[in-house]
Amino acid sequence: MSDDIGQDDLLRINNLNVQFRTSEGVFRAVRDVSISVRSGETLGIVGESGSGKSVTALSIMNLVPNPPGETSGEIIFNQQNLRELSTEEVRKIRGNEIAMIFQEPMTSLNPIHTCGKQIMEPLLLHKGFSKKEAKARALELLKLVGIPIPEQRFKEYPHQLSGGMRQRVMIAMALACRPKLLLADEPTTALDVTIQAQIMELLKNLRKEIDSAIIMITHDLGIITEMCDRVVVMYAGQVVESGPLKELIREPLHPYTEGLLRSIPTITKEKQRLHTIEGTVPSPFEMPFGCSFQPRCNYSTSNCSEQAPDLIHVSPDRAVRCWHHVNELGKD
Amino acid sequence: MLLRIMKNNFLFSIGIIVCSLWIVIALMAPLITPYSYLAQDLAHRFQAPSSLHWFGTDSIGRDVFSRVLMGSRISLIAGLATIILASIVGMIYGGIAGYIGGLADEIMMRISEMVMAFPGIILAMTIAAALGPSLYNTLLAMVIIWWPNYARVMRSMVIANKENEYVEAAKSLGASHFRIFFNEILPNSVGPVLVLATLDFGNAILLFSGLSFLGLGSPPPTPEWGAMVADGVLNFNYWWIGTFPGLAILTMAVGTNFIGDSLRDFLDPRLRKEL
Repeated sequence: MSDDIGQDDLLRINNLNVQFRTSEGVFRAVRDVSISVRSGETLGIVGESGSGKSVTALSIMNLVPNPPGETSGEIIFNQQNLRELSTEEVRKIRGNEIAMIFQEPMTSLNPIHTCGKQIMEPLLLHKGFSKKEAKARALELLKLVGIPIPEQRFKEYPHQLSGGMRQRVMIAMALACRPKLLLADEPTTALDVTIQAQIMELLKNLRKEIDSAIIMITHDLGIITEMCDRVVVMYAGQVVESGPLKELIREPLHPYTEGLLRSIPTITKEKQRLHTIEGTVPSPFEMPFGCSFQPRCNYSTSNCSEQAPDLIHVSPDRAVRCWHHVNELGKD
Repeated sequence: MLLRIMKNNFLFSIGIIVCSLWIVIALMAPLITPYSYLAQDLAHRFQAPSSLHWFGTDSIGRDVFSRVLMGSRISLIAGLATIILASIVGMIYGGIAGYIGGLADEIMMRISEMVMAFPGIILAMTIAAALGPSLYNTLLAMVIIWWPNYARVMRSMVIANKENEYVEAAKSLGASHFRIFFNEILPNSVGPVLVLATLDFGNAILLFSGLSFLGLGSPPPTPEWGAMVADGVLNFNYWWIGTFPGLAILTMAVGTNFIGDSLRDFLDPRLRKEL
């Protein structure tokens, strides 16, 4: 199928499953997810809380705690299956070829080390830089992420910086080794709106300069439309739709994507109640029969609640997990 | 800075003054003692305190004042060595248990609880008696009964700190377990252990004196406060032989406790006040 196209994919996730064994039962956080990212491309992963976005990102870094987490599937980065590498080999990739920006800049920096020291860390670790070289590069990075007076900030501790500054420092840390792939896990969620806009602006500009692929994980479709090339929509641990940004916005195939797009507030529309998708993500312990979205779906039919649909490719670039499209294809 | 703090906290300043006095005495002891602590003068045994012998003389005519001053050295060294060794052992042990977690943690903590379940002084006596009385064996015995306290505190701090996001962030940058432990978790976990160590310093000196009193410390003629008190008990009619070393123990233990208490209040946000 169309899966065979991308031999030159930078990252390919095949049939990723992550489940957590808890005292209440087995909780399947990620179900049969397959995603690919090409070099230099920005992929957006959207979904509500609990849709498995962050766990997917963590499993790329091999950071899902085990136990209680159990992971299966293939994660192929640069023709290597990360899941078959030793911990030592994975460590050499982390922070070097794949780097991650975390959600909470307040707690993701160690309070007892200076910002400069924390940015130098990956350089000393992976690139074998001398302290002097690392410092020079760290100052360069601080300038790159738009921090004024880098020499001053270099010596300061995280508590002396504002949230936006700290997120910039986190981004500098992630970019230190010029990673081929950057995972941004809700990089702006913890920031207030004006700072969010600044950080998004920074990421957009950096994208041109650093030419690494980015996986942008967010629940904010606005962010996705601003900077992504392709989008993957996740719901209850599954990919429900994927495709190029423009096509997906123009013509959403899955009812969930449609709902998400309709619930973005706009200034131009006349005053009316903002559209919402009724209900919440199902509890992982009580997954509905059939399609996971079926209890909240306006188009659900009896077929939807009996059997789970597969992810089918409607075109080489686009895939959707919905019975309605299976049926349409069948008719063709 | 220190002066400003001392002005606001009476107990802390008393502790600092008493302890620094003892430290100065310990450092300069051979220079300020009027007699050698070993010099016997059988003609002048059991002399009451006088201008010649400020604290009197003991059963073989040694100057009690000189011996008390010299004794500060061994007490300070014993207290410091015990606390430092026990906290290092406890921090490594508790740190490893907390960091690894799971079954290893369970087993390691049960072992440390077994040590804690014995009454401290009796266990220390048994160990010191079994190994034979000497300074090193007594220190070893004290470290053995003391480290589990630090292990427990360290373990709980490491367990709390290893869940921090900056640890996850460090992992995502490719840091090894060794680096994560020593660079990220350890520096954030030592605070409470240091406070406990300061508080315990006085207790360690007391325990060491207690063991010496029972004849398990350094053997005579080393001037040790606990052993001197024991000597005073044997010669009970001559009150000065036991009283002055006893007062020395008291002042040093109280002084370190004052410092420890103030430090704990300062570092505990619920009790926080200006030092």
